[in-house]
Amino acid sequence: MEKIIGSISSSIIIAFTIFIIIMNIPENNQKEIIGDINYQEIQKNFFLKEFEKNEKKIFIMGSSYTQSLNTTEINSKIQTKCIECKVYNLSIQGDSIKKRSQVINSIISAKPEIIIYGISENDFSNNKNTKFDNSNPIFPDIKNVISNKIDFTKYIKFLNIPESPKDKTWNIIRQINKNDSINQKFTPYPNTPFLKIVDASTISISKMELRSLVSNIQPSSKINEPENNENFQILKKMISEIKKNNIKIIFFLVPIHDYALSTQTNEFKKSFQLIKEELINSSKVEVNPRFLNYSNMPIWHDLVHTAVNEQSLIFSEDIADIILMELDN
Amino acid sequence: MLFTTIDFLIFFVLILALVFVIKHKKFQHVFLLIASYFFFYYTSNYLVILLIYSTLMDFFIGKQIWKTQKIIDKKILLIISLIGNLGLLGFFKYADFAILQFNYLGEQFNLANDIPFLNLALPIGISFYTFQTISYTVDIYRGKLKPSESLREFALFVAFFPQLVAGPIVRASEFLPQLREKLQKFETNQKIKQIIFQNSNLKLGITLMIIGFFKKMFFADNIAPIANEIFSNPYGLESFTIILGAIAFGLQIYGDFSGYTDIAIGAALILGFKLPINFNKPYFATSPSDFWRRWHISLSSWLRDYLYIPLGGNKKGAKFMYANLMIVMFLGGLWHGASWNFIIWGVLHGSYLAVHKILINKFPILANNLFFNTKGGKIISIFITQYFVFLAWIAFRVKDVDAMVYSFTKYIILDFEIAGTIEFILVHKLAITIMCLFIIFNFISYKKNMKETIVNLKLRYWILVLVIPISLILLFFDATPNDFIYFQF
Repeated sequence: MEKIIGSISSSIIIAFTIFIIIMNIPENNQKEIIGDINYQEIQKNFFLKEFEKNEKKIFIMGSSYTQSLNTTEINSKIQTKCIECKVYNLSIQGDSIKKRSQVINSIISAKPEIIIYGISENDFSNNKNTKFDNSNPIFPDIKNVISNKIDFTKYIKFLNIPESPKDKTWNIIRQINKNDSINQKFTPYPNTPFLKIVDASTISISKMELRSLVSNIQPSSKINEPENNENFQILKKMISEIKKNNIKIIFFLVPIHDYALSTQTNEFKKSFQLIKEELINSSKVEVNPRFLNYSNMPIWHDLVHTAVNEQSLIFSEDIADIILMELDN
Repeated sequence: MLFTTIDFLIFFVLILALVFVIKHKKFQHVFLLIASYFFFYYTSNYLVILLIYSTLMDFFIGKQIWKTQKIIDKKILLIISLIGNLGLLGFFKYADFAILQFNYLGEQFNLANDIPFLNLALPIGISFYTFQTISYTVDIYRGKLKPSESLREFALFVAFFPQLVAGPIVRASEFLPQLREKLQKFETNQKIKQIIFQNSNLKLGITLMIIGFFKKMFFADNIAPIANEIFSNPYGLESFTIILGAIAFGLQIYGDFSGYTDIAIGAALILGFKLPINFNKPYFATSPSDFWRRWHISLSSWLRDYLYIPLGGNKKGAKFMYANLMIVMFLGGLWHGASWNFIIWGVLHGSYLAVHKILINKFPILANNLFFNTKGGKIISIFITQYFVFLAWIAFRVKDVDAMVYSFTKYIILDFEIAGTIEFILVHKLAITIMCLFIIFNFISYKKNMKETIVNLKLRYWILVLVIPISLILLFFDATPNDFIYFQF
């Protein structure tokens, strides 16, 4: 038995060594594409750079939901009123309030005039598959207790293992296969330092195609009430830090197609409404409502993302209007 | 607890260490039982009460059925057990589906008020453990099984963690003797542990577990994006792309479910328990009935023994047999989930089985034709059978009825356009390569018993062979692992 245990241990050690070696192979463009490992580093470097003197910086923050905001379009519109204003779209795919809070000091150090932040229900939900998870455990939730006590991510970071080795492996295979142009990423617009998109994101899909995507939507997860909502509390702290530095912050709800909104339960909608109201009341910020006229327009890449193309310029124009109103104030 | 998470690996290693350390033999089963409840409680919290309820109800009803002499009393007790088990399953799994149908009907009759949904959390594994407990009481009722004397043994049979959440559906007659056998040896004062780690079990168990992880994490999870991309929005796609999607999903679900089963059987084997096999090269089946002898064997044999035969099977004439096949497969489809697509999938398979029986009965020449026993004949039979099996997978995968109809049409009526398919393959060539590797892997498994070959290798070669799947599992590890498809059933 000892021999078998020794053998399987050897197999695991050899495999793990191979794995660590491969995970540490540098990737082309790795430094340019923002991920979990270089999240803080890339942003800090950006905010430390010297911006143009007299430039009034306006930062748009958000996740992939705001990646289609065209900085050229927005700048051309707002520069009619404010020539020294310059808009940066700082959206990051897969971003979250929690992650953004880690770099809030760097953002503040760049001294923007206005921060305009696109938020959605996802930012405050538990993001769990509630089909199997019991959102209201009656007995102590051992899983959470254990995962709070043992943080595996710190060991993963120590060994320089990315959170998703699968993605890294795919990238290395693509790197070896140089002709492979799949998913080659590019920067869509100027002043979008953290955005790299793939060709597919530029395609708008038909209404029929959108309808067929409804069946893939996961059941609504739960949004905890504001006092127990970790992300809400983090956001509140972020707002307070931003305001302390005399930076104006305004929010807007990112566009989501009616088909996707129709799958939300009433309880979920009410919980999000509560979050919005609490945000407005406690932090004294403006939360611009969702642009509800978009659903019938051919601007959608999927049910929650507008396509990065000319057709979706209306979104950029609407955001420019919000900024202009703010500048007027 | 997902098998593919670090949580499970730590849990399993701890269990093995503790089972090894516990010297008092009597406590080993109790310990395994506690570990199994912990395994369930870890992700399902209070829903563990349902598992305990099911266990207690069938343990005591089983005893009463055995004790009672009157047939009518036995029947009443059996009905109570069935209502208790199926009621539980129906309430948690099908309540919202039923409400949806009622609301839809209400809409047709202009009834203004909808019945609100219950939004119940689906208890993981409920379809599996209720079927196990039903088989226990039915077997006692039929006089085929003596009830378990020990609640501890019975509870372990219901909750044994390797097979608790997605099978194989074990029969009490297969599992309980494994516990008793060891107890009897213990009672004869033989110095043998109830759970002993044997070299052969350990090597085979580890090999099976690694193959299971490999099938799920390397093959199934990397093939999944092809099926997802095609079937999330199939409109406008060419026939060959739809066929590619059907093949991808067929391979994905096979890698996923048979991978889970291999891990379960391997983990049980390491602990000294033998679980029944669930798959036997299903994509080499030569007829629909052959497919169901090879796919999800524990479910198909359960449906045969506890549904098809009680309905009359093939004893009441051909028409009844066809009707019984349809009923069984309809319910088999519904067992998979509260959704019309699963019902369509079941009905399709029911019709395949019925049509196959009709053809054999009407044209006996087909059954007796020597050509079908030749290599060429078998290959043709396999292709025809799998054509229909993969067609049915479309119904299993696509929930939207319009999208399903579109996919069926394209699958059946070929448009012979290939430009889009070639482009799709070029864009997904890495995933397609993995798909081809899985086909080769299955073909080799068909020709040669791969598991046995690996187990019989000398230790130094065994180490090297296992390095390959372990490395690939690590390299393709996903931070957000996909649930096993069958966890939702």
